[in-house]
Amino acid sequence: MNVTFWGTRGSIPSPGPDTVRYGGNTSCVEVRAGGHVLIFDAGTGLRSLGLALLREFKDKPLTVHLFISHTHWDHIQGFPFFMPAYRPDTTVHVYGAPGQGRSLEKVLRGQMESDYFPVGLCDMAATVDVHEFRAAPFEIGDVRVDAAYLNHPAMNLAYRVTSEGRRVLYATDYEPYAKTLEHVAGRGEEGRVFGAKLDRELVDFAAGVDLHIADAQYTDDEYPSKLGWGHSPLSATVDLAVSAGVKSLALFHHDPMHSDEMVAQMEQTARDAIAARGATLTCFAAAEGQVVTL
Amino acid sequence: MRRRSVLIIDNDREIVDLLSFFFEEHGFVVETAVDGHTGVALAQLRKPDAVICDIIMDRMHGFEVIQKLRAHPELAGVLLIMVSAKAYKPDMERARALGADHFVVKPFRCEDLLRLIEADTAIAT
Repeated sequence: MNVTFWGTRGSIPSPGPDTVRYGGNTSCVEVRAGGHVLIFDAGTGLRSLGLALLREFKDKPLTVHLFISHTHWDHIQGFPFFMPAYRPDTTVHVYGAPGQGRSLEKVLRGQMESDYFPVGLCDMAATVDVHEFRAAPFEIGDVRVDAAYLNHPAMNLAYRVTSEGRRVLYATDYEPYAKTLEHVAGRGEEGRVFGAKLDRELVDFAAGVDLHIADAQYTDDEYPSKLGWGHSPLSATVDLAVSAGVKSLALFHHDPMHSDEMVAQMEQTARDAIAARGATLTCFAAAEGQVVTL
Repeated sequence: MRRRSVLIIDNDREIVDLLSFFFEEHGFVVETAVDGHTGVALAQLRKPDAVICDIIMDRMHGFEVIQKLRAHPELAGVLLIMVSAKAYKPDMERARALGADHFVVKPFRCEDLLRLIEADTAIAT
């Protein structure tokens, strides 16, 4: 199984001299498994992935399976720029949580209305099939995909891919329930304990995966002023990965305010915390263009 | 005298059992479902006075449940209480916009839900 990071940034694209090493494009991860092309999120990194797929599948029909975690801008903004979708011999299967008032298809169509974008979804020549993810596991040939909801101000799904005995978990935009119930809802210790029980469900979902792609948007110092924004402080990300016994941890969804230097510093902080816990998992800050082979 | 009825929809069986016991002790007819799909079907069949519904559920989440209940002519007026550990303002606003009467953050006390139901004059005995 090959995992390629095409966009590692959270919130908004942030190109510039300070983000050259880890990249400025928003969330998009490609997983090649069992001969299938799986894509996790359609942030602006999807544009570069689309161009690479066009080069690879120049004269061949292409089928991709695009899993949307949720429909905030940084997870769908690249979709209109996915060039293979303008070819008639491309099929795009889009999966995501059922809508909240508006269907997933309507949301994707909505961002391509003429107020926002000059080309409509109906102008895409590809076959675009939108599927609401209702029952896990979901199978694409021999590849299995499980899903679980994450705590975020939206209906946000984590996806776990299993293929040929390897597992990858894509779980971004997650804030621990224990934090939000204790501090945002103001429920104190009672909220923290109840939330910790719910957080345990994600630990179980992540248990033993070969690669855990995880929300690591904030440093612990930044987090108190970002409470309730739906993201994790670094120590919570490390806690989750160590508790779940994952084999490797990719710090992901880098804050747009974080320079390469800051991201590298967070990577070192995470490695130190892992070592202090006596754990052996490898940890790296995901960088645009990086390929991980499992 | 007609007994009041409540439908509890939550994928956490411990919460379903706790609420069932509590509301039965308070004289309610209680129906339960552990997923949204079954919950909507039960609501259409039994037409309860009140529905207590979680958000995070497989197959059909709580926001979809609200929409389906409010779209049903005979359930448009049912008292609808959302309960969730999602404590975000956008989720609360979304629930209200789709037709929930109340949003209660977990963990809650059963008495708080009873109070909300009893405050609804149409359901009070």
